[in-house]
Amino acid sequence: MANLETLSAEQLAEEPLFGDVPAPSLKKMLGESEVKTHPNGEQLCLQEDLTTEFFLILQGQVAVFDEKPGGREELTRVDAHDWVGEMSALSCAPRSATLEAVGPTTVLTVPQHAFRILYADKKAAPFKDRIDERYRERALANHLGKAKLFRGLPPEALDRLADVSTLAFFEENEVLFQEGDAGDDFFLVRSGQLKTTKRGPDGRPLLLAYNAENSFFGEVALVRDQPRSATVTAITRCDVVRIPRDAFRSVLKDWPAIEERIHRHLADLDRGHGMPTQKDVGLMVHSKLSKAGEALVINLDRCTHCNMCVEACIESHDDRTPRISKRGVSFDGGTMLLASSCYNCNMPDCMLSCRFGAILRKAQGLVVIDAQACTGCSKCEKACPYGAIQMQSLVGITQHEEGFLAKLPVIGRLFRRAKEEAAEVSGAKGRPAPKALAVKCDLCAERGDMACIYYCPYSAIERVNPQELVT
Amino acid sequence: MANRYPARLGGRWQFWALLLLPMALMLLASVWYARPARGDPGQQHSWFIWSGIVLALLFLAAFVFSLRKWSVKLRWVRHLGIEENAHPQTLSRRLREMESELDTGDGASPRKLLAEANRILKETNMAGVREAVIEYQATGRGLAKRPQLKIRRRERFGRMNKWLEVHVALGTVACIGAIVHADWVVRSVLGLCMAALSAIVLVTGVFGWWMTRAAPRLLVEQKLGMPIEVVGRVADHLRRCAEALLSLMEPEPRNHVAALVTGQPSAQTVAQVMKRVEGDETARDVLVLAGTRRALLKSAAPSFRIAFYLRLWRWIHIPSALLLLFLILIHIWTVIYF
Repeated sequence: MANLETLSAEQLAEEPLFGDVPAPSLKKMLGESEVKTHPNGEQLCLQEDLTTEFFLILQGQVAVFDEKPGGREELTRVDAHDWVGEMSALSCAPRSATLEAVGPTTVLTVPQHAFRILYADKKAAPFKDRIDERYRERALANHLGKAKLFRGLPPEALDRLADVSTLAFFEENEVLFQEGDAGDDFFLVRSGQLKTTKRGPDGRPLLLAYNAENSFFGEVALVRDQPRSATVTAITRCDVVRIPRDAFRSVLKDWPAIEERIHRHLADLDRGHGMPTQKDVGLMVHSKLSKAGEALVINLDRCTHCNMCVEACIESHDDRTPRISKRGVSFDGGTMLLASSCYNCNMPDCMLSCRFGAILRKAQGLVVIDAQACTGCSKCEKACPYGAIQMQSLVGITQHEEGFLAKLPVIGRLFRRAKEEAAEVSGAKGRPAPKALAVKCDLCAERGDMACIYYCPYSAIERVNPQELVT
Repeated sequence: MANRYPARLGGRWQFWALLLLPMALMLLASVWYARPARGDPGQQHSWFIWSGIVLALLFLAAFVFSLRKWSVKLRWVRHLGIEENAHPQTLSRRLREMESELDTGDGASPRKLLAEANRILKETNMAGVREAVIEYQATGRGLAKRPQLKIRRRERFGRMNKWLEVHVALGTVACIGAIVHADWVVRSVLGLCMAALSAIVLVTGVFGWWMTRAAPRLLVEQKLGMPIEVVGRVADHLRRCAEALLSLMEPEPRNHVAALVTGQPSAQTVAQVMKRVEGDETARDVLVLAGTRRALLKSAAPSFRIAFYLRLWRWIHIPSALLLLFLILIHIWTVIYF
């Protein structure tokens, strides 16, 4: 690869990853990607970051580190023509390791949306196969070692499990198994959420539990040798590790500590110890809260409906569009209200639906809309399960309607809004200028403190992780 | 869950210190200084002057809360420090580039980038309203902390709940202090008016405080099923739907049904109309919509009543406070003039 700065699709096709991938597909991806040379020791990403780019090493080498409280451990090195970052790009999961350049390293950084377009491209099937294969290898080795259930297992046991385990992806609402099916596998959740339901006495499904990252299910049928006692359905896109019955049983047999752990868990399950209530599970599943990162929760026991939060939100944004709505789900006896405002989801549907890379997730988890790249297609608005995204018309954006105070003679100028600069939204990357822009709560990123919380005189609003609502 | 929220009004010791300490000092001063001074015009005059200055400052501090609340609408407060030729768009673009630079750890050290961010803030004339800070955030459980460049709006005035605490504490002290300042004797019509208004402001304020604590709980107990803010909109929507259906109907049944859409008919009238339009599906739909609307408004009526009382005290509290402020200004002017 002679000149990496002016990398062409033809040059890229020589890479083993892109062999047999049609040039137009590669060209499209390349247009959205960036070639960057990192000096020695520079980090491409940090462990636990919520970034989602995919990296192809063109020249040099990248070291993979596992960050631990006591220090860091080098896991492996990725050489030129190999790739990393496919796990986060596929599932939006946090980075499982830190990547650091070893010597000057040239990397092709592919944004998530471009990666997903190529991944879904039927003409680029060889690319998908290679990514899937590598993903399975890495995710399995990585995940089994970290799973709560298998903590403390010696490496040979983990290797034995990894050899027979497979990785499976499920789309939203896909059923993993039905109640009454034969129990053949044990499952570990790597990313995403699932719900467990059982047929009630009246034949209607009864919600039993929801499974989040690092939880496991399917053990009842395997340990007790009985058919599946419940139905498990994906409530978000998720990927799970599937361990066959025989391998699972042999590990239980050879390592009694794990067997004891499983039996203790089953006993707790029978007694209902440590399980969230039916109501809590319903809240997480039916209101789709299990997807959420942090929710804006109004304490109705304090809220006097003075509307100061909404007014502060309006005044804090130049387009005068409120990002908070008091419609939402109430819980805790009606004392808490989940307001409709961006939750910065763990797996943002809006980001996955955007084909233009206009929705990005920052390293710390804040989902942001890039006004420069937004085309106003409104796909994100439809994809958001909470109705937290709205389309702001750009027609007359600089001529906001002023309140009656602004129309008063002499003192009215104190209330008038400053003349704003026209939004720089005209045709980014050669696209036509949009007629509307997607807007959502940006957590008042530029303020450092959220206006709705800051201006509430009764301390009635807070941002809370929904997981806290059921614990 | 409720522990996630900061202490409510009256739940922090600082509030009680702000309320009780000045009040105790004022009462002590009244006993030690004002009472022995009675009968001596010179000493009494000095008591009126000094306690008056303190009182004026207390009233001013209590009034400032209202200004702070209104300031959210004031452009010059929001843009305090912003210069005419400021370039917020340029700033955000250039800082975003820098932020991503820091995210990936490229090039410059955090300190150098902070200096660079401050330089850009100055160049774009935004330094008066924005500030650049480097924050160190943990990347995971117990892992190394990483630097992040943050551009924040300069917040000069503090959170609103603290302002409310100051308003309630100092306002209470000022209203009671007015009597202490007068040395427990009302000497003129103006004094009588000010004492009466202080009492009204104090009583309505205390009632308001009680209402802001009690009313939200009462509203929750109504179990309305939707935020009170949207009830009106939903009812309006139902009415418009019913009216749209009405316009499709023939004049004969329409005249009978129309009266039920917006009015408050008795059960007997409703039964009569239903009998007349029996078999007419459109009329039935109109009646269902009108009935739903009426049921919604009826179930929301107690909540509206509570919301009304939640605002009622302010309709007395605020005009009384403004009138009191006006009389205080007249009082100060007369003292200075005469």
